[in-house]
Amino acid sequence: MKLYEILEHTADLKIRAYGRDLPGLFSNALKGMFEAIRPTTKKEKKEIKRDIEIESVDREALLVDFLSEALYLSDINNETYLAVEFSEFGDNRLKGKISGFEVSGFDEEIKAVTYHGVKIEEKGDRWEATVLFDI
Amino acid sequence: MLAKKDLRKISDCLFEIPKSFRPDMKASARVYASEKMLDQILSDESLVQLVNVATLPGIVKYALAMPDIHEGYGFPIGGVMASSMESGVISPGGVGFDINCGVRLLTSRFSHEDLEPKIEDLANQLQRDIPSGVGRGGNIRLSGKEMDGVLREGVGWAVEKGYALEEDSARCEEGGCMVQADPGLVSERAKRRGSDQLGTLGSGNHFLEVQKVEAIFDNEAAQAFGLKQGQVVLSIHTGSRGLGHQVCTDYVRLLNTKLPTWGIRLPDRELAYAPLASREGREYLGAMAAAANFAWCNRQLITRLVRLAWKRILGGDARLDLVYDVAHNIAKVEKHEINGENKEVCVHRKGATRAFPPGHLEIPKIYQAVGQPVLIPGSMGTSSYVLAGAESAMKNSFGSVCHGAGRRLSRKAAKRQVWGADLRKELLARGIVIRCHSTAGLAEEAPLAYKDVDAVVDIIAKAGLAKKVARLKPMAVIKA
Repeated sequence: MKLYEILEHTADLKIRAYGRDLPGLFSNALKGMFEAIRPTTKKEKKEIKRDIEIESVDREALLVDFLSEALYLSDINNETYLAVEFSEFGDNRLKGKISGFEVSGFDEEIKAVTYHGVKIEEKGDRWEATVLFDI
Repeated sequence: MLAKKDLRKISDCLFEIPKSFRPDMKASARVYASEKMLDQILSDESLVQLVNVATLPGIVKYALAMPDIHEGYGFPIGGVMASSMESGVISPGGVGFDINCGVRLLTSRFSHEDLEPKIEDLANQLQRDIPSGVGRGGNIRLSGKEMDGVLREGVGWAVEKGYALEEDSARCEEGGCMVQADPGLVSERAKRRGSDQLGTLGSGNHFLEVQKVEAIFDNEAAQAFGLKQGQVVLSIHTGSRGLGHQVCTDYVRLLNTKLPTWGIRLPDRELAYAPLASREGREYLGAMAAAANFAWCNRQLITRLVRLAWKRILGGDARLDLVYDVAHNIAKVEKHEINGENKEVCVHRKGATRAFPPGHLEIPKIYQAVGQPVLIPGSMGTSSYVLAGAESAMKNSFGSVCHGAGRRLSRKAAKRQVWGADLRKELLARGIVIRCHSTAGLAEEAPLAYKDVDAVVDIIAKAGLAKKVARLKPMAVIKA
């Protein structure tokens, strides 16, 4: 199963992520977001874990707010994140640890994760989410 | 679905989607464009988004699109919307994530022939000295108290610290400081993100460009702006960096939690708004103004670095004077004539630039005879323009014009058609020096990914919203 793909959009970055379940979907969306902006990891790849806890109005907002929080942590710490492990996961609340590495920079800059057209759908035996990012 | 038949022609350069097009519209939607441009504009969702804007409560007159309009999220990019202060709304999506993304123009005393032998050295120095890209912080790390000073005072903070000339603040829109700014309304997260980003360019379509004045269209205005044929000038295009992005993110999130309690449902969450008369509305305005001040201070600190690099390469008495600094993602409280009455409204400009006419008291005295300088950057390697605001803009577009060329191709599509290394060679063959960190990023910003800036500016001039003053051609482009 593809974890995510980058779709066409005139001015911004559009990613469709996939997952066998919702936690997997959120993890792959996180991975897709950071891989899309091409991190330059440092030579010494020391693994980093950061706590994350989000409460939102609904599931779609939860995904956007989760990715926004990861973006904020990335910006202040100069890190990229590849995966997340959840200790709690509900329709409008999550808690867990995101893991990744220090970076010296990224090729592109995401200004923000937008709510525009955000969709989470169950299709057959997998989940799909589409998110638009302001570049 | 919107089609050409849904638009009524008002003139060769102005079309209207009437209020009757959709039952939830509270005003009509107008677009400045040629008939030919309309075909391209109708190929994405930008006009549907404009119609969504026209459904917002308290909208005044009409929702407006400029010829560089393209699809955004919530609001289209290249849009203008004015709200009644009493019954209208303020929307972070109507400003954009990059609050006060804008441009400033500086003039030098050099002709392009005199500068050409030094252009590579200058480009190298500028690339070395002005931090760009993601992950590279600026030279200043702001303490909490200093950050609050920047957010409250904008360019004024830089003047106090000796980072700006006295006359710089007067030559900025709003004097480089919006008085509504309240640092207390900016989150600690936003402040943390911005704490080491003052004096940094960012990435994407942000740049520094050394340019030559290739053509003068209006001698009186050019003289007032200090522009001469063949002169070397410099443009800086950037905004409020991570601080502004976080302010917008914070407030869009907050307002989306409030909408159900206000009984509001929106076609797009990025249209989230607050009534201007509400506490949340006033708080967003205060936070947005603070972020706008950060952006003006950012462009000022970059100017300081540019001035130092300039002197280093070109000699101790080489100077750069600020012509003007404009915002193109902002919401302003301004007085406009509505049904014969002078009324205060909140004008949202998202990818649109203020263009006040001759005689307007809010533009510097030295420009009052000719109108406010309007700076329109082209895409990389293409022309930029200097315009002067005209009375027709006050009457018809809330004193607003376009902001640039607007994208027409996605980043993926641009990279399929252009190889960054070839583009660099092609630009160099045309005498344009490029300094950038990412070759893939270069391809994404290729001229063919953007609309034709000449055509966009022609429509603005034809509509009488502003007059052309000068056309600038790049000599060197510095970007992330």
